[in-house]
Amino acid sequence: MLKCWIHKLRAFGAGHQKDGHVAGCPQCAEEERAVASIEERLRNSAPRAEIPFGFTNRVFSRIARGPEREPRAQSFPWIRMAIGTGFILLGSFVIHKSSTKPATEPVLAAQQGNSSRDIVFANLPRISSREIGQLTVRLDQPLETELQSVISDTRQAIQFVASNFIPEPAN
Amino acid sequence: VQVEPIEETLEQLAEKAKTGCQQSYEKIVVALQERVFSYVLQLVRNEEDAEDLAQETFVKAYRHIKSFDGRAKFTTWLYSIAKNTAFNHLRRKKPQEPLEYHQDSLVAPKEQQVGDERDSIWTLARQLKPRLFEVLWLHYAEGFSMKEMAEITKSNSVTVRVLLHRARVALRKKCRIYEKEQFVP
Repeated sequence: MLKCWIHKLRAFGAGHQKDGHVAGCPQCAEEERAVASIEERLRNSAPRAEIPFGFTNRVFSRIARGPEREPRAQSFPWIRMAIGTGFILLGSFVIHKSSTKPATEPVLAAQQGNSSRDIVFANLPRISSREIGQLTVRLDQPLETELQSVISDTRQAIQFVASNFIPEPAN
Repeated sequence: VQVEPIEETLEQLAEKAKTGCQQSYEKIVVALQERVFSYVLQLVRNEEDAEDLAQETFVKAYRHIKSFDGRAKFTTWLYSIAKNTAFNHLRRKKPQEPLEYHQDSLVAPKEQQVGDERDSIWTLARQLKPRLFEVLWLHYAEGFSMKEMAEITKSNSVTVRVLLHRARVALRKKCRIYEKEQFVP
């Protein structure tokens, strides 16, 4: 406590008060001596780093090089985020616009009492399950059979073209 | 008759450097390079970084020498540039962390020290809080007054005085503990 008081007097420059007390108090006098010794050691033993060779020249070559662009402090990339968000919003707006084009067919269908789903199905090419079976039955055949059927189909097509489109020679 | 050259003060050299005299600025660099390098080294604790930052300090000071108005001492002005440069460097290294973090991480105490280094009062001082170490360094190693330290640390002289007082008390305690450890059989 007493030491603390002495230190405070010392810190705030109340020299005469401190000296008056320290003169009659051996404990504080010892503390005072210890602090003075520390201060002296601090003053006399400050470590000095050896300056690297060519330091001055490097300073002046940097000065001669002209102004350097100081690296910008890395902060949160607000600008990039704003641009990105803008693009996303623009993209979603375009998609939204294109997907909500005024559909004429559903309106017509609605007017005729049909749903838009019926209109879509009506526009699709109609094919029966038998035809699907005929088209897909050959998929499991080996390649040779497949080739033969392709050749025979081609022959039939040529015959069809020849008999229907090539004019007969005049006798 | 040999005339002794008149020693120019740093402030006078700075005034000449303002007019574009590079020789005067070179004299300033030569006079202060060791001190600035040592100070920056205390802050960043890395020799390569310290050299680079000390150079950067002198380059910045040269480029902005016209803003030195002579109200403060040239060394005070230069040291505040050095401190800002070192802090910016530490901030760039760890950009996500606030400045207060760097205040606490400026001088990390070394775990293992041997021989004469351990006996040094400055080694014990380094174990103090960074702000306390900083004022000790500026006052005892660099010889700055309270007012000058306040300008460098961008605070007021009362704060600096209190910090210096706390630093002395803390160092005294450290010394006492260290002395006790030494005498333990």
